[in-house]
Amino acid sequence: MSRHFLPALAAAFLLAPGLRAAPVADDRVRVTVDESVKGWWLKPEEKRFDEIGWAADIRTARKLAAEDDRLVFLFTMDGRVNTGRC
Amino acid sequence: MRTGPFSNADVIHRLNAYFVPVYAVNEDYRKGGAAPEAEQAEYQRIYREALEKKFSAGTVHVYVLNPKGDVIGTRHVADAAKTKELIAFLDEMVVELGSNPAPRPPVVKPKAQSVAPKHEKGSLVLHLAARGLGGGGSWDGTGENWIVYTPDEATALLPANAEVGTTWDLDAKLAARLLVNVYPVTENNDPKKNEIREQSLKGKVISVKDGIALARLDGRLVMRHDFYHKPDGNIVETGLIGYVEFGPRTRTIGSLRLVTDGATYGGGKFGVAVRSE
Repeated sequence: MSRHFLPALAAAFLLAPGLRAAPVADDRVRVTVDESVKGWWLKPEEKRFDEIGWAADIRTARKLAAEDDRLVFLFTMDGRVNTGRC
Repeated sequence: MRTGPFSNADVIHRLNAYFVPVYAVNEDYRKGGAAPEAEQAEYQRIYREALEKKFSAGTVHVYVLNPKGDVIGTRHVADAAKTKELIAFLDEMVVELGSNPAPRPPVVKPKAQSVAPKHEKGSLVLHLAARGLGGGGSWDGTGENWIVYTPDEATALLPANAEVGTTWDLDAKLAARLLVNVYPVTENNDPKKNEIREQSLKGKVISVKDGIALARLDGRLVMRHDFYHKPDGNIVETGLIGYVEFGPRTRTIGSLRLVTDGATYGGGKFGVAVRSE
């Protein structure tokens, strides 16, 4: 292998997805992981969906709407809107 | 929708004040799905009535019923997802209750909608959060998953001994149950359709103090994950880093955290964080 290729190969290896330039030292693992968890975790403003008083199912919603003279708002979807996986 | 219109204060106010909101997961409402037959029948009745009344109708849709249960309006999700349009639609519907009805507190007390599935005591309950970090390849917003390991399965994730320097490979099948959920916010959310092409997750005990062992976790994942429900060649590629605290004598996990490291998908970057609850 030509020596000219070695730096390019090294750079490619370092830039490959999922690879750090250097592994995280043992004494930095916890703080490194905790920082990412904190940064990527759901923020309160991303959980406002939980501020809506969702009924358990359609028939319950209908029963409550009839009793309380309200409208039923039904949202149907593929996946699960409550987890954002939809 | 969750982090869009359903997180908007004006939408939340209207839904709570004048409606009984409910969502239906199509998977549960299909034949053989988890919803009871009577629930499925009511879903179908609403759908058919909307069609008969020449309203728009579909599987990803908003339907509004009056207190008697009659369909009085619908919106396709593409329109409902626009906050202004949804507010206008809700206001239009509220007129059905009379002119200027008084707002009232929600009829159902709001509560967390993403919760851990039922599990036996001593289980390891992992909560996963995913979000795009720029560059595309992901919808806006966040996604969550819950992964539960029985007490025996949680023990099986640990090393045979906990001497500092001990290394081990985490059980591949157990790890895969978590890793199939490592993808950004996409339309396809069926983990059974994901194909793990490369997977590793290794542990190394780095300290033992006051009867608690701390091990670092390092790994890598390459997984085919289609953005929609048809093959598109998109690949999740990421490193993994984390840690687990456990009792060497009790062989129980006190805390586990794992995050992606440089995750890419569909030309963009994303982050996934996992924490035990």
